[in-house]
Order: sequence, then C-alpha cells, then structure tokens
Amino acid sequence: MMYGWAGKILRVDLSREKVVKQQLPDDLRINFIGGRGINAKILLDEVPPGTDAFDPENRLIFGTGPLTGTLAPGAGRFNITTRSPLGYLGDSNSGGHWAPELKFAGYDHVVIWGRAQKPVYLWICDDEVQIKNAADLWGRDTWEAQQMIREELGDQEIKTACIGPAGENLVRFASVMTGPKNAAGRTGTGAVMGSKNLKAISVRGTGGVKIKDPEKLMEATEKFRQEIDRSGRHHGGRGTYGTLWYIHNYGCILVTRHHQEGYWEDADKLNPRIFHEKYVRRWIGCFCCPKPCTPHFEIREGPYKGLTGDGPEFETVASYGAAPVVADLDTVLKAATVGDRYGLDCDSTGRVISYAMELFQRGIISDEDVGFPLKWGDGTAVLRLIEMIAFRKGFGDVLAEGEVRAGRKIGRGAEKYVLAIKNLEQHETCRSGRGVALAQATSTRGSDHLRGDPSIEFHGLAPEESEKRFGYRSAVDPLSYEGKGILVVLTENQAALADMLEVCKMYSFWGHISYTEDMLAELFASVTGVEMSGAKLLRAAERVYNVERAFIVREGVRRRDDYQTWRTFDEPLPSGPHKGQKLDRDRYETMLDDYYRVRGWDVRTGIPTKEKLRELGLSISLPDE
Amino acid sequence: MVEFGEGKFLTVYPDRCAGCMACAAICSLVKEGEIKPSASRIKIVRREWSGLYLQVVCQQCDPPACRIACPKNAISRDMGTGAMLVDPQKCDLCGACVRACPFGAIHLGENSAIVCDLCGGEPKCIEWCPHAALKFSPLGTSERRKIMDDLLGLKKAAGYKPRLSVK
Repeated sequence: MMYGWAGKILRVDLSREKVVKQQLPDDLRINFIGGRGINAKILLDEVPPGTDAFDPENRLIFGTGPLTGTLAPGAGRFNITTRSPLGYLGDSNSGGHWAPELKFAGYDHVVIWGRAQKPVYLWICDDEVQIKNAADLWGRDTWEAQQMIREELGDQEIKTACIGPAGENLVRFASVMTGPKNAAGRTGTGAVMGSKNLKAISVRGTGGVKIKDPEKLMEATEKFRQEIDRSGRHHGGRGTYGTLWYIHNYGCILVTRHHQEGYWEDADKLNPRIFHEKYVRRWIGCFCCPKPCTPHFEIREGPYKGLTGDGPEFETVASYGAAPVVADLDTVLKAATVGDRYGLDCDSTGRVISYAMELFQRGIISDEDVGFPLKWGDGTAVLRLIEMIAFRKGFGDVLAEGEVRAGRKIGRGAEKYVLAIKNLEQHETCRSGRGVALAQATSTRGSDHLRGDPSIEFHGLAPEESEKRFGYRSAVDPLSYEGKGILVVLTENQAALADMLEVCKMYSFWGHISYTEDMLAELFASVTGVEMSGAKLLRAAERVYNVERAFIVREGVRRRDDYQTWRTFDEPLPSGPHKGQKLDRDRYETMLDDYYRVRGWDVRTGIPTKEKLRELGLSISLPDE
Repeated sequence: MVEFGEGKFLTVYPDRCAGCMACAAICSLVKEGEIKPSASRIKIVRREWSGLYLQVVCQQCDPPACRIACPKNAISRDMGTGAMLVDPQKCDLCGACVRACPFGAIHLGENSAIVCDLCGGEPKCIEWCPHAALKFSPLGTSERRKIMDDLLGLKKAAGYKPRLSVK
C-alpha cells in the first residue's frame, strides 16, 4: 500500500496517440521525492542534450508532490518541467486546485511527448484517459477554454490546465493557466504545450489520497498552522492584503523603467489597503491554504467598470506597473486579466514591454517600428503590446521571442540593453541585496526569485542569529558580500524542497523561518510513512538541484552564465534608500567562488564535480570543460 | 419550536468561504480515512469566474425532505444532535433523497446515501475551516429561515445539481 503518492505516472505519446500507465518507481520516490524533483530526473533521463524545445521529442512533464491534496498548508501545487524555448531549463510551479484533482484521479505525474496532428486536449477521469479533439477550443483564451470544457463534458468540477493564444502562437514565454489566474508562468512551458498541439489537460478525480497516519497529520498540520499565525508580521500582511503587500520601496528591487531604477516613486498609488477596500470582493485560497492570498476583484468605476477577475500578485503589479511605470491600478488589473486570458507569463511580458520602452527612450526604435510611440507610463501602449505579443502581430512578433532574441533581431545597438540571465528576463533589480543578486544569477532556470531567495537579508535578522544559522554574522547584511554562498545554497535547497513536496513557498523560506524543515519532515512522514529528517529532505533537494544543474551544463551552461546583468554591475541606483548602490565585480567573483565551493562544483567551470555527484548517488557523466 | 439538537445548527457563511476545501479534506479524512473530497459530507460548489463559492451541507430541515422521500425508511433523525442518519442496511441507493433535498446536501456513496452526521455533535469541519466560514451554534427560526433562503438563491445562481451516481 502506498501512502501520499498516488503511485502512478501517466505517459502520453501524442504522435502515436498512445497512453500508458506506469508504476512510480521507488528510486524516484525516495531519492527525488516528487514534483519538481522527479520531473527534473525524468527530463535529464529522457531529453537528449541539444534537443530543441519545439522538437516533438521534448518532454512536457507535469508533477504533483506527496503532500499535494493533503491537509498540509499550501499543498495544492504542481510543477511543469521541459526544455525551455526561452532559456535552458523550463520549470514552472503553480497553485490552485488542478494538482489535487490529478492526485484524486490517481496520478502523480503526467509525461507528454510527440506532437498531435491536430489540436487535441487530454481528458483524465480517474482510470479513463482520452485524447480528445480540440478544434473548437483552439484560438480560445484560457478562461473560455476552461469553461467550454466543463460545458462540453457536463461537469463543473473539472479542473483544467490550458494554454491560450500565446501558447498556440509559440510565444516563447507563454504560460499554462489553471482557473482564472493560477499560472505556471515562467520559462515558456505554454509554448512547448502549443508546439505539441495540446490545448489542455482536463482532470476529474473521484478517488482519494491515502494517509499513513491521519492523527499525526492533523497534529502536525495544527502545529504548522499555529506557527503560521505566530509569524504575524509576514503572514498577517499577506494574509490580509495578498502579495500586493510586498509592493514597496525599502529594498529597492522593483523593476522600475526596465531596471533603470529600483525605487518606484508611484508605488504608493498601488497601495494594497486601497485595493482591498475598493476592489476586493472576496479572498480565494489554493487547496487547504489557511491564508488565502488570491483576491477576487471587481472594478467598480471608470473605463474598466465591471471588469472582474482574480489577482493580481506582487509580480503582476511589478511587471505591468513598476516596469513600464504605469501607476494606475485599473490599467494594471486590465493588463493582468488580459495577459492571463491570452496565457502570457506576466513577468517576462512586462519586462519585454519595458525593454521596448527603453529602446524607444534611447531612440533605437521609433513609432515606425512599433506603429505608435512607447512612452513611459502609457497604459494604453502596454495593453496594445500585450495583444500584439500574444498574436505575434507586427512588432509583437519580435517581442514574442523574448528579450535576448528580440535584441538580436532589432540590432542597431538594442542588444546592449538586454537584461537577462540564462536567457530569462531579469526578475528583480538586484543592486541592493548581495545574496539576492547572487541567487537570481545562479538559479537553474534563469533570473528569478522563486528558486532561492535570501530576502531574509532585508529583514533585519540579528548578527548573532545569523552567525548561529549560517556561520557568518554578515550573512544577513544586505550590503555585505561575505557568507552569501551558504545563504544562497540553503535557500535554493529550501525552494527545491518546497517544489518537490509541492507546498507553497509562502510556507517555506518566505515564512521567514516560521517553521523548519523538520516540520515539513513531520508532515511528510505522517502522510507517506517514510521517516526522513529535515536534513535528509534538504539532502534530496540538493540532489535535485544538481540534476537540474547537470541538465543545463549539458546544454552548455558554465560559470559565465552565472553572472548578474551588466546594469547590476555598472549603473548605480539613481534613487531611493539604496541610492548609489551597485554590485562590485571583483567581490561578486569572490562571492561566486564561495557559492561553488559550498555547492561542491568546480570553481573555474561551474560544473558539478564527480565527487559531488557520487556523494549524492548520481551517475551522470558531464564534460570536464 | 425546535425539539432536537439543543437548537444548534451547522450554519454556512458562503461569503467568507475561500474555496480552499479544508472542510472537505478533513471530513473525508475523518469519515473515510483518506483525503477524498468526492466522499466528503460537505461539498464546495465553485464558480470561479463569477466569484461564487458555496458550501453545501445538511441544514437539518424540519420536516426533513430526505426522510419523507425515502421509500425504505432508511433515514432518521438523531434527536440528540439533530443530524440526519442513514441506515446503510436499509438504503438501496435509489436516489429519492438526493432528488428531494432542496440544498443538494445528500449524495450517493458506494454503499449507501451519505449525509453529514455532525460528527456526533462536534463537527470537525468547523474546527478546521481557517476562514470562520462555518459555525455550529444555536440559531433562531427567523435567522435560520433567512440563511436557508440565501443558500437556495446561491444554489440556483450556481446551477448546482447533486449527482445521482458516485461519479
């Protein structure tokens, strides 16, 4: 009897229209735990080096975790893993209610390859799995498609993960959406889905997740919930106002004017309290979340009066607000909603748009290239570009390639202003936190704050506490370069662990140590019956991180790809509390050396050493150079 | 005049519901030993695009439509708690109770009709709802009437119909 895991991988070959159910191997379960971990191993094993993202042989892997669909707080999540059409590792995580439904249907993972001859969608209803015609759905946005499938199959409880026009049109940063706003956004997993002619995966599960020790699970969950309540400052703000709570200037990390600044002078205009009072109708939670942070909103006056939807999140506001400096909440909500419906990753979309605005500012592109002027703060221009990108119309076709490829296409010096790490558009402005800068550069999927986020730097942890936990008093000083290797490695492993168990990162490192890995271990043991200490779980996370690193090393990633963007090094912050700050190149080199040493990777190349791989029980052969 | 269950009722407050399913998860865990919302005694109706979320659970009607409809006399009231109880020996899964319940709160399980038994007077879902969207407390007749009318309105708005088979 298996507990926690459903025990099955669903394998779908779209070219041959073949569906196979495979037992979940013990090796994968015990060594890679679930979700992002097992996904990464399958990707490394099954996608040969050099495979193009749009090659039918590329795998599109959906993975839930052993805690998905249980009482564990925030355990409603899943990862989608693939060779990215944008960078190297495609990997994105989403919440909502789709993942538990897949578990209830009896599957932990779905592995898809091949290419359907015509648009199809996958219908999973418990044991019954069908590849169905999606002719009517193709071209529909993500909201329409999900509701049409419920109508067609006559069941309002069906949960669907699908792509919109952006995925169909192979926009390199297309997302996969479930529900009105839950997105597996980054790294273009939606474009890979589109390349396979797969519109959606719809799921209905009437089974259950088996629990080894229900009493212990209830106890551990109760304890966890109390810890969440106790860490009031963090969860109190988010729990009341959602992630919009984090739109503020004290860290100077807001992507203002395409990272020309980190301080957004109008941040207060998008005050979460005003949003809460004037727009929010209710709060929606992912599966078993004790602190729901999805607002269901309605615009009650003005030109967008009557618009309703779910969201926005911190990043939606940063990307459609701070990046193009649009200080109007109504317009940001409109952009967020349209972007979700088209199936675009809000992070890359807003950054690519602000990139175009910077090129316009510098006279590299003009009205003639775009069809209209791109002035900072012009919300109408942002909305027009979103549509042009999703449908690859005019200049939108260039931007749909992502910042790196768009820069190359435009030429005329446009390449100089590209800000991306491992081809993924720069997430935060990283000139004030040294650890944050390092983490967003070493992240296996490219620039991002969800893969290792030492933002504890900004939270005023006492030096004594820092020494106790990380061995350095300066590890939590945002402007210090010392002790960051261990801090970044720890948060990277914590993030990986959250994604392997598939719990929300709000209850992982962003809980600001409101709980420890040992509490997760308790939940894990009560659900699965597998006793592993928190340290052992983090060890599994390290194993997964090395598998991901091995995958991108095979794709050509080396030390040279672990650097922050040129702007982070060369341009001091022009305003805000951290005015004048930038990243020092020499000290960054030392910090990166330190990071590789903690990782056990070759300091010169950034390749995991044979000893490290052996120590983690991984037999992977990697190049020496 | 209520003559059962000390006048206490399981009351739902749909505008506070976050649709998180914690109630359905704990209900199925306690009653079925696994987390299985399809077998939960409390259901969450979700209409994400209209922002409508509604808990569907036995309202302990008086007189109870399910009991009156049952041709096998399989349904009775626990006078101590006020809960409706189904005798699995007598129930033959005909579905008459499912059709009769105005709230859609009774459904067919694998062996018999299933309805909330108030966990013997200490409903677990109340304990586990993180959003205070469920209560178990004494309520006056007029207040109850209003809540039940609101529920019927929301059920209609959602177009919710309980299923007549396990799937």
